[in-house]
Amino acid sequence: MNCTETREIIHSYLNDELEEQLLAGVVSHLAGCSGCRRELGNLHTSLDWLRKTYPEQAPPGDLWEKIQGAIETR
Amino acid sequence: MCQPSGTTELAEIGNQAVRGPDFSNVFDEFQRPIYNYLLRLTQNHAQAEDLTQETFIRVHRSLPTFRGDASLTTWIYRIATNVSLDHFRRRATRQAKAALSLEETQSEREWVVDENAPAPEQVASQSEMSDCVQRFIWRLPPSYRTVMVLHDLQGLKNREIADVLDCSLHTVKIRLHRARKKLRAILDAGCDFAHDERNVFVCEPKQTETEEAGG
Repeated sequence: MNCTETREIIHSYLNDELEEQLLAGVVSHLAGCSGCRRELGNLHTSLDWLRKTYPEQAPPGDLWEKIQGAIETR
Repeated sequence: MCQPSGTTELAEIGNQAVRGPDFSNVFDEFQRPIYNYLLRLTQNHAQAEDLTQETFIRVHRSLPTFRGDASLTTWIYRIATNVSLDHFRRRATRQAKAALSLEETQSEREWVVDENAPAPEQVASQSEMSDCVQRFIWRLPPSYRTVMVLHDLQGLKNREIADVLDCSLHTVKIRLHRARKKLRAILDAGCDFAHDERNVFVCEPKQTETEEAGG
């Protein structure tokens, strides 16, 4: 597997969605290619940023009451 | 059929499909992910709350007819997505009308990247990170943003997203791939970010050449 082929499926690799044969090809290529390892690292960093920037938050505590009220008045 | 990516409670809810899932159970299971989904799309707490209410009102209305053809997860996300699309369409229409009636604001609007983008103060309140960074995601085309939020923040699988958005698996993969590439390009263009010596993720706006020369 070369760099072009690896980068075409590197997102699937990141998503843990590759079949065994392709997975083995990517792993083997990454072991010997610093450029593709850097690309993978960049992807990890972007996703890290995304999850830090948009953390999960608790919904308002009175959501159920408001929805019940809205359902009853419609 | 896609299986909900959740707990045993979800499986129980799915098993109730024949006689109809219980609304309070569905609300308990999905209120948090749906609220966060809509918050991440709108980046506004009040709007996210309103849209979550509307989503569950529609869920309540349609739940008796839910037969389990889709998983409960994708079914509810599809309703939430439609609610958000309605919201953004109404908002875009209002903004277009306002723009037509206020010609003097035209020049100010030219720089706006996305008509649906939240006000900076709304974005800034979302977390402690700098608001300039947070606005970057709004430079993504809406279709890319939705796929990225569903996959990378809400944790849905590509197959589930295809069901939610009623598009092909191939389309989802392409949008996700392009969204991540664009996000990376945006971050590269606007920010220096890395893990510091304590392994804490840090991000600083890049200095422009003018700032560097003057500073």
